[in-house]
Amino acid sequence: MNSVKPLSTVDRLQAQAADHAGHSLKLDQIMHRFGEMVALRDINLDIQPGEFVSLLGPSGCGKTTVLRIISGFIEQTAGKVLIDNQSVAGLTASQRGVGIVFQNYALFPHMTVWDNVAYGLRAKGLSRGRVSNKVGEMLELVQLGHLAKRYPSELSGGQQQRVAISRALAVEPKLMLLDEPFSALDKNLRLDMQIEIRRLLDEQGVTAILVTHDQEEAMSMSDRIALLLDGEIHQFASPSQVYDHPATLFVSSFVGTCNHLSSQIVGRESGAYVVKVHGGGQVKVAHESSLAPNAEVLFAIRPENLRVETHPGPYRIPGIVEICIPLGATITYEVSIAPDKAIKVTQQRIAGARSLQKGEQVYLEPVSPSACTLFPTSS
Amino acid sequence: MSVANLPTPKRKKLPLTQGQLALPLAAFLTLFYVIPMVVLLAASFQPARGGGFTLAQYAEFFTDSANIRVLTLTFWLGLQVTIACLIFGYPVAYFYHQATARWKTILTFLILLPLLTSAVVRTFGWVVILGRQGLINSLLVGLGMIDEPIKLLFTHLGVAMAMTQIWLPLMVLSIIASLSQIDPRLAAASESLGGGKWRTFWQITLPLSLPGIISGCLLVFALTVSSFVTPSIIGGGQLMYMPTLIYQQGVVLLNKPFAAAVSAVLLIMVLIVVFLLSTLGQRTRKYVQ
Repeated sequence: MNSVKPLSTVDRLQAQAADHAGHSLKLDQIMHRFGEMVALRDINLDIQPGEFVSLLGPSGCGKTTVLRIISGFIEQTAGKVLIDNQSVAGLTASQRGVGIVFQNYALFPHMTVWDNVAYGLRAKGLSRGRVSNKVGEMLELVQLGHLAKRYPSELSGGQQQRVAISRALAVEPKLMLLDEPFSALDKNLRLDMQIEIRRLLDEQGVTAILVTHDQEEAMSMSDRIALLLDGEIHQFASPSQVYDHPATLFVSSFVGTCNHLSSQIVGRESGAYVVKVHGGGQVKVAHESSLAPNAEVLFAIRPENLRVETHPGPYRIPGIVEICIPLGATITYEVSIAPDKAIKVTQQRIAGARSLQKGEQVYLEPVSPSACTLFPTSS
Repeated sequence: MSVANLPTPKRKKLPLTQGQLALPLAAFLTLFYVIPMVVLLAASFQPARGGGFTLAQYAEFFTDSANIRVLTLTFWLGLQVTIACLIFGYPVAYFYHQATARWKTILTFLILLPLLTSAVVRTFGWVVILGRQGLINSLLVGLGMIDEPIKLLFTHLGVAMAMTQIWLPLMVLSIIASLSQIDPRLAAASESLGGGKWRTFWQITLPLSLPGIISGCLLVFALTVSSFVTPSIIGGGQLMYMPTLIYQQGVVLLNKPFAAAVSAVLLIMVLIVVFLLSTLGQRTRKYVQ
């Protein structure tokens, strides 16, 4: 017996996505000035088709300005925006094929869910039948078909966001810009929506750029993260690269928790630097770029990259346990190595195992010498 | 230790409830608004002389075609002025909404300026403009567009023109208030979905400014049909509107019950329009949080 199974919506969309396998975006030496103030300087980003990239940075770092330049809402002072290697200067957001999900979703409050999703299709001049098919398809994709007749004010935050994303996806944009889309959602829902949106965008094969100040969000969703501070890109790399090998001190302190210890290079031993930590002890650190002997450095090490030992050793930092904070799966200690200097140390917590007590003498050693970073200090 | 045993913090009570706070105004309005209205309505059911209850005043009003003409003319004036204010006012409000901060300061001043001048002064200004030797006629004759001055003063058109100018600021301010409540990201969203300037205006901006249009229309209509100074000066006694009829009957002819009945009819006309426009406004409530 030979029966042809009808394709589900998701299968069909996946097939479509494979046809137009995403579009690339390139920002070439973008500079932007607001009056006298330089908001962005020399922004270069090369985003691959279908990639999910986050622009991460504190508020006021210029990430929203980058977004507005990509979407064409403002014209950059200098530099070029290229989509599929074509300059898009002078084009509007829709001519560029840029879809946007706004921070507050910006749903049209006087239109039903259906009309919101249909808006872009009608603007394109599609026939009634095609609009109807596409809207039905999009609403099915985000599982909101049963709410088509509702108004946005009658929906929950997560539902509103799904409408916003299906409205933006309906016109089949080349690029999807997400402007802090999760900030209005509560924490549990946020994770669900992050997974769902990532799945939707992957299915559609759409290149996406997420603007956020939430590092966890950027870490969990992105293929690559661009870290932005004061209008400059400090690092553009994969989440694990950003976490393990921060390019600058800003990246190191902004992403995750990190100990920064002022230290001095005192020698080299089998490819690693011997670093003397001011306050006591020395450690071995594998570092790629070459540093001058006796150079003053900031030694950056993550709390989970430290092992607690009870005996002294040549490459261990002595210290005294000050505070002990159990966090469920892990336990964090604050260990003072000098009167005014403390290090955070995170250990796996094993049920029943003895935890360190306040006042206990410990010796700290890096677990992985290559997952530490040295930042030269210009003194 | 149980949290339940802790003493709950006592909320400091206001000495007065919100209802009580409104009492002084309620008393004032009762004394000087509600009671006079009741007295007025009661008066409209009295015969011209002596006491008793009668519908004679209303019968007299509705059987005299001259009165019906006054009623329809007043309604017509209200409609014309409201529509004219909307047509002239919306572009100004829209321009204000799109303007830069510096332009907004200038525009605010220009929009509010007429409101700072008394209606009597502005009406006399219009007498000068509309007269035989006035600005409009001199201009039209000077340009050779007409041979003889046209009659504008003491005409319905003249009254409507003057009233439009006088109530325009209220329409403009209502629409501005409504436009400024629209999230600018909606226009950006429309643009990103391929909606051009016109589509964005017709589909997003205009429908969302409907509450301002409705309240502006309500204000202008109600104030126009109850205006006395401008219609009596520009209309110059030859044109009769409801307020001038009330004045003539009540103050000149001392026919208080009839004047009261005319007042009641005017009030009902305004209430009907308020009801109709509010019903339209209700439809917009759905999406205004």
